[in-house]
This record gives sequence, C-alpha cells and structure tokens, in this order.
Amino acid sequence: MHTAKSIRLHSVRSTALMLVLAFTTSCASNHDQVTRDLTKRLQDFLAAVPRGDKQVFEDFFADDVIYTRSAGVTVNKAEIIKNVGVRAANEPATTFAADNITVHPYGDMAVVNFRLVIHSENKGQRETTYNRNTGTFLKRNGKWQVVAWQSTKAPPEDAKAIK
Amino acid sequence: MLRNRNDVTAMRAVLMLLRDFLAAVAQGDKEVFERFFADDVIYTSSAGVTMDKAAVMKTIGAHAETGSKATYRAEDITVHPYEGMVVVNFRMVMDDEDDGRRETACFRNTGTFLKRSGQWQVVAWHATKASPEDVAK
Repeated sequence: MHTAKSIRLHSVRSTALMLVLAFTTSCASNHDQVTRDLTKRLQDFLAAVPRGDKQVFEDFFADDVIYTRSAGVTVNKAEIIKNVGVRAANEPATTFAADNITVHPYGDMAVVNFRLVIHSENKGQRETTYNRNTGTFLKRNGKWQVVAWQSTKAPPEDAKAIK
Repeated sequence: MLRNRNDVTAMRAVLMLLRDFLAAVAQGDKEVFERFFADDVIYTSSAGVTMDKAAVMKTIGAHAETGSKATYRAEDITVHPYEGMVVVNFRMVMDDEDDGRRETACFRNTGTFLKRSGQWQVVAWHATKASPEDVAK
C-alpha cells in the first residue's frame, strides 16, 4: 500500500528521471546539430576554395589560427590569406572534397577530422590524392571559426572515420 | 598579447604536461599515454593515418618492442589558451640512433587540450613530417 510519503518520493524520482532524460535528449540533439553545422561549414568552404576568394578564407579561419600545411610548415592567418591567390592561379583545375568526417563537439568548441580528397590535373591527366586534416573550431559571437588546422598526406587506402 | 591569470595557469599546466609526456614517450609507459590522451582523442600520425585511443595504445607496445632508443623534445612552441581549452603547436625533434649513427627527424604537431574534471587531456593530436629547417612563425 502506498503512503502519501512514498507517493511523493515516487513522484520526485519520476520527475528527476524525466529531467535526466530531457537533458540527455537535449545534449544528443545539440551534438547532432553541431555535427550538421560543422559538416556543412566544412563542405561549403572546400567547395569555395578553388574560387580563390579571400573573403571565404577570412571568414573560415579565426584571426589567431595556427595552421600547419602538409609540408610540415606552420603559418598564421596573414600567410594563409597571402597564399589564396597563388593557389588559385597555380592550380585552377584542382577541387577539394571531404569524406570520412568525424566531429567531436565540446560545447562552444569542436574537433573535426576528415579525409581531404584532392582532384587535380597533372600533364592533362586527372589524379586524386588524399590528406588527413584536423580542425579545431571555436564558436565566438555565434560563429564557428577554425583556431587550429593541420594537414598530412595520407595513403589512398586510409578511408575510415573514427567515432 | 596580454593574458589573464587563468590563461597563464592553463598554459603552464599544458606545457608541463607536454614536456613530461615527451620525456616519458621513450620509456613506452602506457600509464603516461593513458593519462595524456582522452578516451575520445582523435589522433593522426605523420603517416596520415587517423586512430582512436585503443589504436594509439597498441602502437606503444609495438614501439617498445623495436628497442628504439629515440628521444623526443619540443621546440618552437606556440600556445593559445581559450576558456577550458588550449591549442599547442610545436616542432617535435626526434633523436635516434641507427647502427651507431645519430639521426634527427622533425615533425610539426598540433594538440588540442581540454580540461575535464580538473584534468587537462588531449582530445585531438595531429603530426606532420617537417624539414629540419622549419622554424615556427
């Protein structure tokens, strides 16, 4: 038989359980939203790279970004921007895409790892090469921007995303 | 750039962790790797292969079995602290010995550290082979 006290206790437990479930659902939903937002931001950026539009790079990379190229050289934002036109002029037929994307959101910060697929032309022949990239994104004033970026040449068979 | 006290404390803590970690790598101490890398770390090796923590831990045993005498140190370190998060970029210099000959290799590394339950741990690590002439900007 339920006493008034046991019913109250049961009611408190049920409420607490509902709150935990609501919080868990909300976290999962926020996690999914960040993953979608950053995947889209990344794909939009890569699609825009061949245009050599400096504004796209200005918007994507934070002013304090630390960027390490696949050649193992670390540069700042000013140097990234300086190279935008050079790349577009030297490799006009090169396009970029991302696959095997992993996003780990941590509140206003997120880590994104992906395989960069580079389609280019060499002496009239189309070729595809791969890099592994990691980006650390920070959300400041409602906008996700990259504060750390690093790229490494990858073997073609490395095609798995980690969770 | 002016830093507040929390930033300075975070930078010091992470730099100490990095120094201690690199000093311990040569011993292949799994406990050190367990503490340094978060369970959800995304680790990309200089070969361009991305691994989770379990795979990182497996490579330690393999490295120890080779009997390598390599030592590691960090140079040209840049640290950017953010609230509860720190980005570290540095040149890792590996000194090794092969048939009595000293060999040096350089790598550029970026680590993203997150503070959880009072402990700094790496949630992203990325290595790229670099030329010895590489100097941090």
